[in-house]
Amino acid sequence: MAAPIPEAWRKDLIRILRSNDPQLIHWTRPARQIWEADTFGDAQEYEAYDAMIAALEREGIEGNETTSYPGQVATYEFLFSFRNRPMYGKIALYEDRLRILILSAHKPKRPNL
Amino acid sequence: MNTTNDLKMRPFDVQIPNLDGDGIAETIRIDVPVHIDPQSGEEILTAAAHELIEKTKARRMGLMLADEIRELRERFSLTQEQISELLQIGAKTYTRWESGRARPSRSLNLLLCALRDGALSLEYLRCKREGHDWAPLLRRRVRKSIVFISSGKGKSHLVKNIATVLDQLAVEWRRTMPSEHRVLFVADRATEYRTKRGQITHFKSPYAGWTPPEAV
Repeated sequence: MAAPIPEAWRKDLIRILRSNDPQLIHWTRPARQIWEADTFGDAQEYEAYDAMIAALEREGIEGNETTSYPGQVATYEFLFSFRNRPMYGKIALYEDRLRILILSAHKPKRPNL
Repeated sequence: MNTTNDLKMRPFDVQIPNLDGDGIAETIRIDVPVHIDPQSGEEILTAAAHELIEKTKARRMGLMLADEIRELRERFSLTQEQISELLQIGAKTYTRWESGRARPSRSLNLLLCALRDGALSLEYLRCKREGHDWAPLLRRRVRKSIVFISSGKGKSHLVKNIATVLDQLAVEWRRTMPSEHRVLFVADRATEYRTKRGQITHFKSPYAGWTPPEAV
């Protein structure tokens, strides 16, 4: 059941995404590969970050907390809009709150979370 | 986070978009370095992997790379802010190009290539930025210029007397040139050249790719 994403997590994510720094923003290979295919290779990474920021800046944005691994503080899935199309994102925040791991960024497989 | 010991090479399909950006024109498979997370087993792309993906795409799409864009700006002794002004884009966007965190669109890349190859001048960009008419400036530029043409016999010749074309636009002049001649280069004063008996013996242009093929 989707619930509002905690503000602290959102703020950390927004700050890191704004940095557009590959040392701080990590992608899993499958996530980056599917993003590449779903956007026809035309979208650049910073465009994904801008779209995610726009969604996370919305007060009350809802998401689901999902499994995190040791070293990660929390992982959330949420929907965001990219070029007027819905996209599904799943991101883990590391314990140092300085780095994130993008686990998914693709067309949603379901209309809702 | 990464150590060289836990790096593995994994395949990655780089997608080359079609011109409309709504489909894939071509797929290029490359191997990229990934770090395997010991806890989750996830394959995490390294910064080098991201760079490799972008470089592959840029090369295939004929886009200038970050270093080439920076070199172009430095050749003209411009700051990032100045060149972004001339190109009429945001300074943030331009900075992203030079840092390799974004690439120019195909249209803007064409503009950058034209600037690099001397087919487009800073003077023209300044003129358009300030909203001035280019034609009077073009006439003045042609008046200051030296024109190389080819006789079509395998050698380039320097046209010393260009008085007859000084009062015309370059476009009109090209149209009225004898058919066996073609314009190789309209050199400005930044070009170094030497001639002997009307033929070019030394030619050095500050614009890459503009050395007449017949010149020494």
